[in-house]
Amino acid sequence: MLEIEHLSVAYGHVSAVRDVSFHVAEGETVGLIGPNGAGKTSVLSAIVGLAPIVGGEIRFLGEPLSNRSTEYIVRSGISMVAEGRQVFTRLTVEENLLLAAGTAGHRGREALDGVTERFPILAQYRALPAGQLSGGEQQMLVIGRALLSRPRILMLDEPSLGLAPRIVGEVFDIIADLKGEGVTVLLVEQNAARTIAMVDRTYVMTNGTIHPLTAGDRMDSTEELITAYLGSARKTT
Amino acid sequence: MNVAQDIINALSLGGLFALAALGIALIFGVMRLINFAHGELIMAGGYSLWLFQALPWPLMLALTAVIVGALAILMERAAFRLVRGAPAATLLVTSFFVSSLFQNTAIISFGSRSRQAAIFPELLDNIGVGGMNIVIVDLVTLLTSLAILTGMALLLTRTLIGLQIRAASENFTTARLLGVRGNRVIPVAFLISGFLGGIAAIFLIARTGSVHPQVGLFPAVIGFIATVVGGMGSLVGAVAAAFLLGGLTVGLQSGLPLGVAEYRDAFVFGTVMLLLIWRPRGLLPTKLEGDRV
Repeated sequence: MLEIEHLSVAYGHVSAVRDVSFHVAEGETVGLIGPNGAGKTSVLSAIVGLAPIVGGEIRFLGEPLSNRSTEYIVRSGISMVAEGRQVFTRLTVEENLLLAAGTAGHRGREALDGVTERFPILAQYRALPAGQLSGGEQQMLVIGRALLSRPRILMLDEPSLGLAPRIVGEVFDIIADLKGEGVTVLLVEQNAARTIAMVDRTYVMTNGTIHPLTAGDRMDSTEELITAYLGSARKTT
Repeated sequence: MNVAQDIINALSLGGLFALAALGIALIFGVMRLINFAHGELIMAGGYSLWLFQALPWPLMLALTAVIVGALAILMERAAFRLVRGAPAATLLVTSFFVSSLFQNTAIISFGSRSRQAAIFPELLDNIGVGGMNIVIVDLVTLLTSLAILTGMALLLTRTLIGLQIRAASENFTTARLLGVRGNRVIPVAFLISGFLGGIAAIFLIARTGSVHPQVGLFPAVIGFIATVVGGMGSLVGAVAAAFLLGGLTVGLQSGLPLGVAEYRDAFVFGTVMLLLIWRPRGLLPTKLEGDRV
C-alpha cells in the first residue's frame, strides 16, 4: 500500500534520512521506533510532502507522491497525526472535528457521530476550546480528527510523548482498537517495548538509517537488540 | 446630549476602523503578512466609486465590489503567492512594492490631485433624534459595520471556509495535514479583505467627498495599529482595538482644550505607545505557531 524506496531527506547540508526503504501493507500495523533525532519524524514528514526529499521514491497505492502537495497527499488517503497534539486551541472541540469532516467532504454534525461514540469525552466537551483539554483528551481529539478524513493509512507520530503513564496505556488501547478494526497504521514511537508488543512488524531507525526488526530478533533477545540499536538513548525514554 | 452624540461618533469611527483592521488582521492570520498594500485596495475602491458615481448606486457598488475583489485576488496571485513562507522582511518589502505599484498606477491614471466624488450626498444631512443632531453617515457607518462584523463572525464560525481560515491562522501546517488547501484559503481571505476595504472606501469617500492616491493610507495605518494593539493574529482583538481607537479619537477631539485638539492624533498614538509598553503583545495576545505554507 505504502512503499518507501531509498528515501533520503536533507535540510540544507544536514542529512536527516539516508537510503531508507520499507513498506506498509493494507491492514497492517507497522511500528517505527528509534531514539530522538533518528529521523523518524522526517520520514513521516517526507511522506506527507512536508520535508525536502533529496533522493528515493514514495509510492502510495502505486502512485508516486514526490512533488505532490501535502493537501493532495492527505486527500488521497494518508492521514498524519503530528507529534505534540496539534489541536487548534482557539477552535472548540466540535469545530476541530467539523473542520476535519467538512474538509474531507462530510457535511453536518452526523459525520462526527463515529468519533464521539469512540471518544464520548469529546462529545461532553464539544463546546470547549480545544486548548483547555488535558493532554490525553487532546490526543483523542487529534486521532478522532484524523479518522474523520477517512484515511486509508493513519500515521501517528509519538502519540504517547509527554503523557502520564496511565494515559499512555489508554492511547495504546486506542491504537490496538484501530488495529482490531483493520485500520492500516504506521506508528512512530520512542516507547519501543509497548510498540513491539502491539504491532505486526517493527523497523528501527538510528542516525537516519533503517533496519527491520525480524521475527527471529523478537523471539530471542528483543531487549538486547533494541539496546544495541538505540544505545543509551532508549534509557531516557 | 453631547455625550450621546460623541458615543455615536466614536462607534461610527470605530466601525470604520474595524473594517480596515479586520481586512489587515485576516491576511496577517493566514499568511503572517502585514499587508501595507491594504490601503491601496481602499484607494482602488475610492477611485471606482468616483469613476462610476454617475451610475445608479446599486450598479456603482456592484462594480466597485468586483474591482476591489479582483484586485485583491490579483495581488495575492501575482505577488504574495510567490513569497509565501518567506521571512517576514521579504513579505513586508513585497507589500511595500505592491502598495507603491498601485499608488503610482493611480497617479499615472488619475493624477495626484483630489477628485471630487459626491457619492450619497444625502448621507451628510443631519437628523434629529431625541434632541441629538446626528449626521446620517455616522449612523449608517455604525449600523453597516455592525452588520458586516456580525456577518464576518457568522462566516468565521458557521461555515467550512471560515473554520478553515481560523484553523490556518492558528497553525497552517496542521490545517494542511487535514487537507485544507492553502491555494483556496489564502485567496478567499484576500477576497474578503478586499471587500472589507471596498466597504471602508464607501464610508470614507461619502464622508470626505473626494478621492486621492493617498486616501487609503490613514485607514490602513489605523488598521495596522489596531491589529498590533489587539494582539497580532487575534481578529476579535483587532476589532476591539479599532473601536478603542475610534473612542479615543472622538474622546480626545471633544475633550481636549481648544488649541490642543489639533494635536489629537499625537495624543492617540502616544496612548497607543503607552498601551504597548504596558502590554507589548497586545490586548488579546495569541500564541503564533506553525510554519507558513
